[in-house]
Amino acid sequence: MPLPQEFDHNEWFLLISLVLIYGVMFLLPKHIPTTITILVMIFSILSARFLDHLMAGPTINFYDMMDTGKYDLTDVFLYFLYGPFGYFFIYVYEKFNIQGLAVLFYILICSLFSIGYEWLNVHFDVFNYKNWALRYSFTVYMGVQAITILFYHFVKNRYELLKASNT
Amino acid sequence: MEHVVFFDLIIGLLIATTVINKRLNILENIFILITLEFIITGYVAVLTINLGLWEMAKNAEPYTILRLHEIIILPVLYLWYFNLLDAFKSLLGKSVLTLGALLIFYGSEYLLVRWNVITYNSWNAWYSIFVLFGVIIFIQLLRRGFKHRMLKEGIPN
Repeated sequence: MPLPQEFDHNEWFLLISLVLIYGVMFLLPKHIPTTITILVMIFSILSARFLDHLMAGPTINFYDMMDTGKYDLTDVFLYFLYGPFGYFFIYVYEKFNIQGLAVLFYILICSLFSIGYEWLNVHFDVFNYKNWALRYSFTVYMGVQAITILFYHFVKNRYELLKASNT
Repeated sequence: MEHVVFFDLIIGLLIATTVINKRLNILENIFILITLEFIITGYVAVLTINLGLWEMAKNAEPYTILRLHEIIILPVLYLWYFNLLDAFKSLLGKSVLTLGALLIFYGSEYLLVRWNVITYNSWNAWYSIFVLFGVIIFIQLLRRGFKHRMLKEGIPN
């Protein structure tokens, strides 16, 4: 796996983001069982990986990540950024028991926040758009966040069933 | 024609995977599947894009087949393997299963080569088998950690 061509602003942005976001995650009081947390985090990482794999590959290439169009080592670290984001998304959803139409508003607000953060990523050359626009990402975030909530409910339901079967 | 057979195989595999009784619990199955997806798409990207050891066909149809292979076929085959692995108690049984599984995993890749979906450049079957085995070891290690966590939280196997 290639290393970054130069350790410059985009790598620094990624590194600082990772330290901050994982720091906040570990400082937050635990609210979701670790098993579910692990699954939600991997699911979030995988969602990003899937979309990049399908949309930023050699055949269909809407954007590049970091320094090259290849699958760099820093790309892997970039994916690890999505895990805590997925966790925070579900954490707030669960903590405030968001229900009904509020779910739609919650997804809208989180999607807006996500494109705000993506705008920063574009600014720091983490993403280099080719045939892509920030507006498209909003639609993708809406879809992915809705699927993440469905995934969370599925996993939580199974978790509770399995736990109940053990008691 | 063979590509159509490939799609039939995928649908059949998905139906069989959905309906069959699994030995591992659903959370462990999900964990294995999503971790595999991440790892397999990663190594395929490294081999095709980074190193050029696998050359991908440029047409839409073979491209779709490669994507379906790495996203559905291989991870689901691995899932079957890990579910069956717990059914075998002896080391010999587990070893025979692993050997058979590796042959099947490689067999699915061989179809891609035969149908010119991918072409090997300075690569051969043994390297693939080695990588496929490496994935088994890696997932097995991660799986143990996850299982340990589940048991701590009172989730039975």
